[in-house]
Amino acid sequence: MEQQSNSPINNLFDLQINEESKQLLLTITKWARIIAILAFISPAISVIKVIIPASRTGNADMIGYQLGGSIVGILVVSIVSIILNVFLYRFATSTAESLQTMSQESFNKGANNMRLYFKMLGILIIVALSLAVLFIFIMLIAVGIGAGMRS
Amino acid sequence: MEQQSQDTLFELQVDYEAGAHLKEGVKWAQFIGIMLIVLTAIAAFVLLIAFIALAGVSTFSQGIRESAFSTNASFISIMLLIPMVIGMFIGGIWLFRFATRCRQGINNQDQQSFNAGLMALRNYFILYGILSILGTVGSLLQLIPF
Repeated sequence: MEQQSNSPINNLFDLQINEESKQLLLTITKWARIIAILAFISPAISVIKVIIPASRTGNADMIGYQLGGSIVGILVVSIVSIILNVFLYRFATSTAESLQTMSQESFNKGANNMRLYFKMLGILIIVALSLAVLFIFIMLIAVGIGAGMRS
Repeated sequence: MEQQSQDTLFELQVDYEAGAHLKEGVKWAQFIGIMLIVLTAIAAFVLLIAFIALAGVSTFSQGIRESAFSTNASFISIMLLIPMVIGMFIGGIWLFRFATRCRQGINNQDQQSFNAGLMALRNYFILYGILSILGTVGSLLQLIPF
């Protein structure tokens, strides 16, 4: 195991983070951090966007009804988005730290967080597509039942 | 040459652990890239159909002022969506390129392919970052009461 990861002889044959890859990684971490921070801010903007039009209606029952439905949806999306972007933020900070301190441990931590970020994003895409297919299937059944009842 | 070998001992490396993480990461990145390409192609097709349908409605409802206004608004919405779809399509291609080049680099210990993969990832993050900034600015502008 030691031979696999830490041996200096082995290091000579490993891929290096040379000057070019270092510069590329620095830009990647800078933009990854911006994306993650914006993703942390956007749920708050979404909540404000729901509250302002609802409060303009003036009717307390209407406000409660409008906010209840929308906020549950926003909350679910926000939690998923925040968890996803925590991985992206951790990838950015760990990798940037490793480039500054030349810490192999931080670099590996960053690589692990990048893996988790892409994995979670991939799983979310599969879930979203499955839900979309299910929704289309239910709609087709509903249309079929509706057409059958009319005839 | 000896100096270079000495340097590698103190440089960061894609060691066994990082390589394993990166390999699994690029597998998922490749899947996401393919999905982005396919989904944006479908979205472009849907937008094209919507555009043709709206063009038909526009010529039919030229005399009706209100209808013409809503058709114009729909046209603008589609026009705003087109750069978004193109951006996502290009992003998908970059993510796919990152995955293939990076995997090639790790498997063959090829520094050039690995750096080419990182370059594609950098382009993807820059594009995604610009789209995120535009999206956030758009959301903030919607909050301003007119």
